[in-house]
Amino acid sequence: MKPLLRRQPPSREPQSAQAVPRSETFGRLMGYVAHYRGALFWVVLAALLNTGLNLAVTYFLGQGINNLVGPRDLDLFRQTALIMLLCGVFGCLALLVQGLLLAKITQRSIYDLRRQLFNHVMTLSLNFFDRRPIGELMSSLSNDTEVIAQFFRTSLNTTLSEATKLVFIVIIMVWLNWQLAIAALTIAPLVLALLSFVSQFSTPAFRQLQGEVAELNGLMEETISGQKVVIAYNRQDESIDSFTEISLAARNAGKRARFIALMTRPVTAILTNLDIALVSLVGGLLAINGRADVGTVAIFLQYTRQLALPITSISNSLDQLLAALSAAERVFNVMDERPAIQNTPASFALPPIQGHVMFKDVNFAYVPNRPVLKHNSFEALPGQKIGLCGPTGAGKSTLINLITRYYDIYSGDILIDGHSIYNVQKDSLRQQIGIVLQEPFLFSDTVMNNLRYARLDATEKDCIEAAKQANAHEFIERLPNGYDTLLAERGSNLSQGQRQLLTIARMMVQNPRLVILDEATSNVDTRTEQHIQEALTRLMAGRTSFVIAHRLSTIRDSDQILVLKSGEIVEQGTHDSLMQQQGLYHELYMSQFKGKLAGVGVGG
Amino acid sequence: MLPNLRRFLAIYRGYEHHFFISQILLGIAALFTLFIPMLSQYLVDEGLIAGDRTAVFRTVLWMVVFAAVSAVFTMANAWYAVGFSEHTAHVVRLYLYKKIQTFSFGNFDRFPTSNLLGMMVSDVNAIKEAVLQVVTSLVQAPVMVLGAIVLVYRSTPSLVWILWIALALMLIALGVFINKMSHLFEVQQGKMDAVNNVLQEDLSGIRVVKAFVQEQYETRRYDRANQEFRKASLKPVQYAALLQPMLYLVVNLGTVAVFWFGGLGNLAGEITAGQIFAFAQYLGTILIPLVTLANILPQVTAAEASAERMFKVMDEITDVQNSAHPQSAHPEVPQGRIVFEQVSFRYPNQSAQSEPVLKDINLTIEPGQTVAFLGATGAGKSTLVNLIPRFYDVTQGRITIDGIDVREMDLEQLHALCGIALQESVLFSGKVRDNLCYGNPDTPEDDMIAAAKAADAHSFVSAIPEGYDAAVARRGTNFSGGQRQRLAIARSLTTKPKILILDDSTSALDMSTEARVQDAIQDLVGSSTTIFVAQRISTVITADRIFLMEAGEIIAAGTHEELLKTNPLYQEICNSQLGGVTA
Repeated sequence: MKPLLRRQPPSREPQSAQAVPRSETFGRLMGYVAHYRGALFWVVLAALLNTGLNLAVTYFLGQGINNLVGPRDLDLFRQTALIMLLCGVFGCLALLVQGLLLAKITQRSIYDLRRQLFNHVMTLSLNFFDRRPIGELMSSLSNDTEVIAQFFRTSLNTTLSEATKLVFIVIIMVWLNWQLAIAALTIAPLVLALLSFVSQFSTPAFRQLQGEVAELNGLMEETISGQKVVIAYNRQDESIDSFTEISLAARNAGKRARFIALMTRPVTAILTNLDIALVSLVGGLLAINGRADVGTVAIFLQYTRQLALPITSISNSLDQLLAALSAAERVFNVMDERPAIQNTPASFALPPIQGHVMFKDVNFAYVPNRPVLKHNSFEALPGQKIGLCGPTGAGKSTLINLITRYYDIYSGDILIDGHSIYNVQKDSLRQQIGIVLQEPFLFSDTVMNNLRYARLDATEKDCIEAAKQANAHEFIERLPNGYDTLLAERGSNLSQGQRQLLTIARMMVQNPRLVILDEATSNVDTRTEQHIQEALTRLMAGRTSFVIAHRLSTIRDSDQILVLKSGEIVEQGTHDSLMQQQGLYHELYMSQFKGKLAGVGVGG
Repeated sequence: MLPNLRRFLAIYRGYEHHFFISQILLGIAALFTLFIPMLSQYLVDEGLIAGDRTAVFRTVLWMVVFAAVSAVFTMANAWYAVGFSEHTAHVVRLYLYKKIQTFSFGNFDRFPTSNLLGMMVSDVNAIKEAVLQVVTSLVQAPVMVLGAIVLVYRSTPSLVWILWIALALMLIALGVFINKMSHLFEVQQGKMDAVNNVLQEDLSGIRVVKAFVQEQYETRRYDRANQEFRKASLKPVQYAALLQPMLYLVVNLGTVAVFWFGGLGNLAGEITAGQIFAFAQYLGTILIPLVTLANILPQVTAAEASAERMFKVMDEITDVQNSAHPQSAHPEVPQGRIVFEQVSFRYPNQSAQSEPVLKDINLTIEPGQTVAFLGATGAGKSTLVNLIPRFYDVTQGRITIDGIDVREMDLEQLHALCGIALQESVLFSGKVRDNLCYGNPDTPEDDMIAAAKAADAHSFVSAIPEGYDAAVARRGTNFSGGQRQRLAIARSLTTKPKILILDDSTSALDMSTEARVQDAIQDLVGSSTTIFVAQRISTVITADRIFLMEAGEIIAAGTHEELLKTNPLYQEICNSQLGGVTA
């Protein structure tokens, strides 16, 4: 049956590096918060209330002072005090509501972002994971989301409060006395101008600091991880000397950069204080000339002092915002990745297979123009054992990636029981293929749960039976809690051989008709090695198996041996027929003796 | 309270004067900031109410002066603070690095590289940040609070009690908050780690997840951890959202109280309007440093944890140390005769009841011999050869070179005697020649090239345009695995060591190259004792003597032919590796 998809080599270029405009990223990021429209409305309302009421306390203080200076009306005095009290209390209540609501919203937004990101990553195909080192992925998924979370948690609340306060103060000032307002507000552009002036010096200083730090970290990483060599060659003293030099350079660069950065505080402070002086001057003269009352001047002085905080905290938030935007860009890049391998609408579920596998003229490359497999064709009958061998890089492991559709081929076809694997749903395909990798991977969970991972509906009996078949049952029983023993990360509290046996057992639970073995080089002691060989033999019995061999002795008894060289199947046949051909296989087989065993008989 | 940080301060000596100066500067700056509300009192009373123009001018002038002075002192403090904190970071880094340079292999087993690196970067930073924060804000709060109290006491003593109560309430609120927060942050961090663990596991095991089609299952697993984290991180934010209004409330209520009682006093003619106004300003002024103090605390807590981790490293005792009176190597030219006498070995972090990794090893290696240790992983081969240069010390028995116990020999000379290529070929950034001559920077050019040729490295190095001056990237990543191995072997040969140890260092080479290198080594340093450690028969086949090891014991020794005839395990290994070999 002809495959329904016409596959083109997928674009291997990483998602286009064209810069997404910051505003777009910002909008998308804020979307997570804006999702909670209802609660946000109340938050903004609370912010307006709280700002208004808290500022009102100052306002009424000023009015109260006017009263004391002027009419000295006792009733008015009592009233003013009462209003101040009410404003103060309710303003703080509003602040409380604002804070609590916003906290809930931001935490949910962060949760949403993380959940979306993870769910999306799970749908992506292997080419996404293979292209990136794990450290980089982790950094993206966990550090970047944390940076965004920090921004949400702290900056949003602060910016909302301070921005509202700023707007209110400006409005009230202008309304009360526009001349004083001008005097008071001259600070704003001055602060911003001076801050940007400072940042002009700080940017190059920080860049240099980053350079020194990178070098320092690089040196540390290199020598500490290679410390055994340093010890073996007695180079500790020189090591310390180089380190001291770089550490001092980093220290000096740090001093310069951090000092400049710290300048923002005294700069803002002196400007604020000078502004207060200015307001005092202008206000004082206006008051003396009768054009402003004492209370108003007092209010202005208070508000001017209160101006400094919003300006500095907003500029601080700006830094956090920029960091969050960079992080968001990376996160969205990941979210915009499309899975390379997808089902089509016409895909159907693969029925339980017998295990007849056919490769028809398969061509494939990971990276365009660097073909890994060329014109591969072969046929495997159900239950046959197919051995694959050849020099490193010949393409043997790639076969696994193709049969399971972790990667899609360029041209040709792969059929199982006559169905092209490109017409079936990938889940139904993968569930019927079992893989034992070179490096056994286990989860930090109980032994039983690891076994059940193959089939969530497997019973305990099924798992134990599988373990027995895989020669794993004895050592499991000897573990501290038997099947309920918790495995450490990656199963590291077991030996390599035991881990391998467990993965074989896991595959037995899965009970697939098609099995792929990427043979580990012998890394285990002889007895465990024997157990593994036995288990593997039992595993392969009656199942179509593909064995990638590093030691030719493992595939000697294959029904068919495929010899790969530079991506092509150059020889095909049984061990005997290939030995007679005296071709590549023969050469490989003989080279395992290195020809130094002249006089030692070689088994036919 | 903060035991590790206190200990840390004790060892960090010699810079106290920087610290004191900076705190004095900060205190003065804080005081001058405090005076400005006082000036506004004069402004209102003498200037505005009395209508005195010169009073206004005078007050404004003083404001400008105070503002300038405060700024200057703040900047000076910043300069000292930055110098102090950066220098602290440098001192701490250097201290740690020097300590690490004294480590031997066993110490590294207890402190994996990633931990040490993390410590050098994040923990040092945490301490630096905490120091910076403390130096730039610690003194402010007490100075301002005390200053405010004094000033209020001087002007309106009858109202001082308002300040006391306000202060008390703010401090209580802060105290409760800080108390809760450190616990909550720990919980939050724990949940964060849990989320990251699921993530890490799923990313490294993605092939398994996909192979068993368990994407849904993993999604649910992650979701559970994510929910837990959301709930845990909500609490600290909620507490912060609680703290702010409480503090503002105290300030507001304080302002109302000042207005009420001050107003009554004013109506009675005892308190001026200016004094009321100034008091209200003080309330606002002292709030900020108190809040800053609260913000410092998480950083100080983090620094305390960092200091604790650091001291674990600092307190580590070097496993292998030079003896009190080290002997130099055999007085004449060293021969390279190695003898193991009843050697047993357990790793330093193993319990005394556990199985020793090496059991009762007795062997003699004659000078100039080429021997090999063969066995599966975990048999103890690398462990055994690591004992010769004293990378670890024996638990029982002794090892002698030319009759001298290695523990009596000068450690540096011992290392110089042995040339070693370890299992993992580590190269350093620099030039190829720097790497090859790592054991002795003054190696003559010819010796270096001869070593490179013997290791089959000369050909590919010469093929590079810069040749031996070519750059080696960090960790040698610009060379293939096989090339790195050959460079590492060349490095071990350059010093023409009397004892050459190659620990599985030809594993990336194909068999014919390996054979060539082995022959070339024999030609170059034939008079040296050469020790191969291997899992492949091909590596050991030509050795003068093969020691077959299993489970920490030497179960057989002899030439390849002898062992093939007499030892069943050896036959088995040959069979499985070479396939169908019969004697």
